[in-house]
Amino acid sequence: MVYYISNTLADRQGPTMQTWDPHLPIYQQLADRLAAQLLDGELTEGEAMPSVRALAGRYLLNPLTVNRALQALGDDGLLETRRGMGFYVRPGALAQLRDAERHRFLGHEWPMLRTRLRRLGLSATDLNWE
Amino acid sequence: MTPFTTLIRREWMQHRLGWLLLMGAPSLLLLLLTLADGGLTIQIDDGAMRLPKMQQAPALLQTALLSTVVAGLTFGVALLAMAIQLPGLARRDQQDGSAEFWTSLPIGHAQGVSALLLTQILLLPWLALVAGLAGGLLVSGATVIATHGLLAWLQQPWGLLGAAALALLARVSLGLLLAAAWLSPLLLLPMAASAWLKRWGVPVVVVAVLVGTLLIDRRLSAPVVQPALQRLGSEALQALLRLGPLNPGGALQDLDWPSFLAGLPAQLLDEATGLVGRAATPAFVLALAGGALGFALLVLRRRRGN
Amino acid sequence: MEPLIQARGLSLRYGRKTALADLSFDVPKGRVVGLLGHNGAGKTSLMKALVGLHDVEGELSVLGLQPRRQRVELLQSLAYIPDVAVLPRWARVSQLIELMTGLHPRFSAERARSLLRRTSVGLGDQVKHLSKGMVVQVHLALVAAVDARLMILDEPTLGLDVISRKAFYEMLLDEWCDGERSVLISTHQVEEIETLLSDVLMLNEGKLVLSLSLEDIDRRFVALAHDPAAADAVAAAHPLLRYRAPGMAGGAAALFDGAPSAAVLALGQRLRPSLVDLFVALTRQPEINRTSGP
Repeated sequence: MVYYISNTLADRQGPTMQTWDPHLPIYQQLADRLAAQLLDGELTEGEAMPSVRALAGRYLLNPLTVNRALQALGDDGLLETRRGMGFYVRPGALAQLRDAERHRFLGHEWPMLRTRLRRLGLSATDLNWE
Repeated sequence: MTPFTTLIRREWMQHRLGWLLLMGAPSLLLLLLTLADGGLTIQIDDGAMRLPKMQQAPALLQTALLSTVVAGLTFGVALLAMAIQLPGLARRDQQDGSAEFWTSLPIGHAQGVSALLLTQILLLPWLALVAGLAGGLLVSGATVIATHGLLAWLQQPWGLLGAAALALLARVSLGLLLAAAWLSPLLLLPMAASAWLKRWGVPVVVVAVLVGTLLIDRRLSAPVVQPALQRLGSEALQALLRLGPLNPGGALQDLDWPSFLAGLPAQLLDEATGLVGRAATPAFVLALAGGALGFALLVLRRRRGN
Repeated sequence: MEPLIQARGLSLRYGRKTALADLSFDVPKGRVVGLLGHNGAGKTSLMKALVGLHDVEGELSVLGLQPRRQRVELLQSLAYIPDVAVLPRWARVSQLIELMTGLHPRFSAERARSLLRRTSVGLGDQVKHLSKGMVVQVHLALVAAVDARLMILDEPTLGLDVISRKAFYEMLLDEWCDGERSVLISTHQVEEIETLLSDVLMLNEGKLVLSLSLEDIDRRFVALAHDPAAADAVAAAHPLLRYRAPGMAGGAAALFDGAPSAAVLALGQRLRPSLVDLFVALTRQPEINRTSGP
């Protein structure tokens, strides 16, 4: 599964009757947000994920939806269930996710960006890396 | 706490401020009156029983009389307040918007109505009676100590007074029960009318009574409505007030109080059995039937919802 | 496992008016069911029937009991909020806890107090001094402290501001939904409740026009965002509803019951069917139906 790690402000804010993108299933979008938190270090490897109930309350989603998102992350190897005690972040998940995201960027987004840069006549030295 | 006792507790929680005021006010008022220029004149209906100024009356007279007066006043005020409030209580929850809350709880409709009636008609007035006796003790204590001193107050025959007070309490408690039974149609049917017809309930009942006494009775060979109402009223009054021995006649200050008090319990018991005897009549059963009808209508109203 | 609520051919009539007509549905455990409908569609009538406050025709069983005949027994196992502003105004929160303890065999005072700690309401506060939002939170804390398998909420967020609504849903999801218990919540504010629901019961003028899980809704209905130029082609495929979708590719959209042909699908971008649009499509007033055409 491919994760869309968004950087827009709306995704960073806490839930205030969030609006979810109508193009994608909601469980997918929740998985995306949780993956983003992993990449940003807000979720630590080896530690337990917040409970389904807590996530449901935080994002105002049905627990079944939350479950589906967590299952999806588990199917992709980012989370694991331990001793029937809920979901934990798998050690190595961060590296795995970063790898996958890099792959996607380099394979999909970068070629498009590169074409655009060429069209505009910009080179690496023209870009601000801060 | 069982659900039923919780419902009674609810009545107290919601109305305690008003009832505490009602129970305390007469005592407070009389305390001020008797201690103020020291004079209190009470005229009782059968024959002038002019009381001397309190300062001159013996301690026992003051205690017995004032306690009874304060208790009677408190009790009477409570009964009056109860009768006036009752129709309004039928729609109490609707008016404060909480009716749906109470029906969302696991309470039977009959249970709810019973708790309301039991508390408002019997328990609270009875509490007022006890409060009145306590208040009477306080008021009479104040006047006795003021006029005769603490020692005189302490030296009164408390055993006799205690027994007499308990006997009076028992007698009036029974009277309350029986009076409530006799008056049940007059208390519950207007309440049911108010529950079903809202603010038209009481006016409709008044009109119905007028129609009954002025029109229907005239058409019949022997009037029915008015005598029925009078009978209910008089039986209730007897149950409450016919405290025969308490009207000894003659000047009160000449009465041999100790022996009078000693004989009171037995006389009251006699009276009580007489009252119970009066209840073993068809009229009493009819009165209860009327009350039961009112009760059923109240329960039905709750069941139907609003 | 038997459903918590079972209705077959359920009807409710007031004199000549029919409030509910021939409803059949199930509510299993572990669900958050939205009862959606316009005002007057029959939501409150249905809920009152479920708690035994109305005589009904047809079959109805709630938690295995007959609501009308076993009302008191049923209410002992239900958490029920009939309306938002019904807590007795004269009472203090601590008094309400005392009353609930005595009246509700499955009520836990300790749990109620712990739920109240989440709110800014104190035990000594009087209901009449609380804001609307706080009153609803108190009521929810009280009923959520009942050990019940089913919670029935009749428009619990009516008249509340966004923050209070959010706090309400948060408490509900955090403290009640554990996979074994179900909630039936009625509302006409479809938009904000959509993501909380697992199932939907949609009422229109007393009839059940939809009884489906959200998962099945996603499978059965198709929303398509398209260019206005393709409008005619899309209309020819007989969608349930056509509407504007600002921000979507093209700005126009259509909702279909069942997937349209591949040709039509190619005309635009597939969207998640929104419950709001489905609600509008299925509960449009007759007059609107007539003038808007096929």
